[in-house]
Amino acid sequence: MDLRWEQIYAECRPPLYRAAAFLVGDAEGEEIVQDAFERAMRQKDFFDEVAQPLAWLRTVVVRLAVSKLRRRTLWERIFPLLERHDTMAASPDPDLEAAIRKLPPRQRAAIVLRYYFDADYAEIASTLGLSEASISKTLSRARAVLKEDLA
Amino acid sequence: MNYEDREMQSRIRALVDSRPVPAVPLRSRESSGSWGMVLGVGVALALIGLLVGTQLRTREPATPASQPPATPTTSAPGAAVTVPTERLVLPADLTGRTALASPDGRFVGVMARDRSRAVLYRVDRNGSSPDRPPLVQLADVHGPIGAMSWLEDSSALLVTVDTSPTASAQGKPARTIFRIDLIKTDGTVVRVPGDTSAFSTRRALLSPDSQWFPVYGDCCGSSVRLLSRSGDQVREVVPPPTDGSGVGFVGWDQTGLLLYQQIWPDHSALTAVDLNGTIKYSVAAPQEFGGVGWNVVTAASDRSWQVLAFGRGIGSDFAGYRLLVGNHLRVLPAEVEQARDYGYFTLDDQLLYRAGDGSMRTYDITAGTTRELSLVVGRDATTGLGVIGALGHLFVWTESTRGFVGDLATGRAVDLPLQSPPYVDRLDDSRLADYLDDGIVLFNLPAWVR
Repeated sequence: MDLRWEQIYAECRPPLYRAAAFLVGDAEGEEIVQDAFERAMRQKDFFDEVAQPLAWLRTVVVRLAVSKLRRRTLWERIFPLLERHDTMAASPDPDLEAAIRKLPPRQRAAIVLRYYFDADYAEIASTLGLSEASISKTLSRARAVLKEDLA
Repeated sequence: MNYEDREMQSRIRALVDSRPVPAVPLRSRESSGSWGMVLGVGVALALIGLLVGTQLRTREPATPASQPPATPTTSAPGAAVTVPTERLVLPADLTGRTALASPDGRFVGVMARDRSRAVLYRVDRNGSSPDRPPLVQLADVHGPIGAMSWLEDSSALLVTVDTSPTASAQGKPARTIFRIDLIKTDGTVVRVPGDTSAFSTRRALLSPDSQWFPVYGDCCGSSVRLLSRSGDQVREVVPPPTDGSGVGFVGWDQTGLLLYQQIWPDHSALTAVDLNGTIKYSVAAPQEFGGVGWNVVTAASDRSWQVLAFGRGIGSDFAGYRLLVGNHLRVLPAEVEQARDYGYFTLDDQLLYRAGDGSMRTYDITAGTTRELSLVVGRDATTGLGVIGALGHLFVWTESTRGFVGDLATGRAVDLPLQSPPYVDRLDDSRLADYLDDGIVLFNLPAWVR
């Protein structure tokens, strides 16, 4: 294996894992991060083609997380008691965490991209497959919900 | 961002960063592109290679007799040779998988399996066992270790150390913070001031005056910074852009200017600056490529030409290759462009490539002519062909799980008993390093090929 994979993994894994685990939980977060790296490693000439590996990996991680969240949302509607509460007890900001968990998958992902990864609207739009205009609306709605919940 | 936004950001970052990150190794062992671009059936080949490499892994050096007969699909069948190797055996808590031998083959940097430390060793060739030289520890740095890289003149090993706070405090930065330690080959360790930086290259490309090399501001680069080779000065040549674009180091040009890329959503440019950041010229990427990244694939020794690969960064859209000559981009001839799957290399300051029929050829950039060489690589390979790369006049590749080295001038090719092809690395024009789980095997190729 190209040694650069080990290096990029060491450098990029912490923020990717934290974001993925925050979005979908620890176990699935791990799966998503590993999946993202596997996808990257399957790409021939990755290092020639991808100028910013973290941005590439971040996109894959967030897309996979949104996909999982959507599937989970369906289940949670059917079985609300299955919603995960295991990590919230140890959260340093349980009110904020609970409020974010209530957001729909896209809003949740947009919030993480914007506030954790410092992504601009264009990148959030590209990652989530939406227009920049709709990202503005998505973030506005998410912010309004969080503000109301945290008031 | 307004005040409320900044407060929200601070809370969200603290919340997300409060999650502990378990130490989980990279699951996949597949190979991907590098200077030793792995080709052919790619994933399957790499997996097979890994499996076989794992089976062959042993604390004892492999003997040529244990290998099946060599049958490279070249114009010149393999010949029986004795393979002089140097086997470097590592302490049990260290692994060769993430090790890096210095470009001159005299030193190795090795990481602990749990990344808790990095050690610099000198290879002691004065002993009585030339095929098993002992390692002499020169210095170590305690981690968690992020990555290692060698200065291209083999004078120092760069080690990134993760210094991210572990407490879940409000306002903690979102990104992992690294510092750089320079372990010099005289055994001294220099801790680079400030929180600079992570890096993702295995060779730090020294500036033409050999005084500076590039480092990055965070994981994957948001500004262009240089670190002095003594490790005591950090110089920001290109500050983080404020218009939403991204910048990153690309290389050096023929006149010693630093080349950096700047990428916007719909276009990108390569800009040459001096060490004070004064812009000297700029080259736009072809408009149809959009917002692409620039990467140097190979170059003439004096950088009078450089082959650039353009990638769109997100997803798998690959834009293409161009030749940078001076400050102009040129299209590659169709025959050369079509050879892209097998990589581009440099031979005697000409562009070296593998044509579709397996013949190795050169493209003379000045004359605009191509020439067929004697060596044929993987002409009939149906089980997967992987190119490791060129070492001067030698060319190294794998077919299925087997390694071969051929002389580009004579066409002669012989078996090369690589134990773990996905981990093979070129050191200089005469040496390859084969990184095993418990050691490192160094091959001195010209000594036995010629």
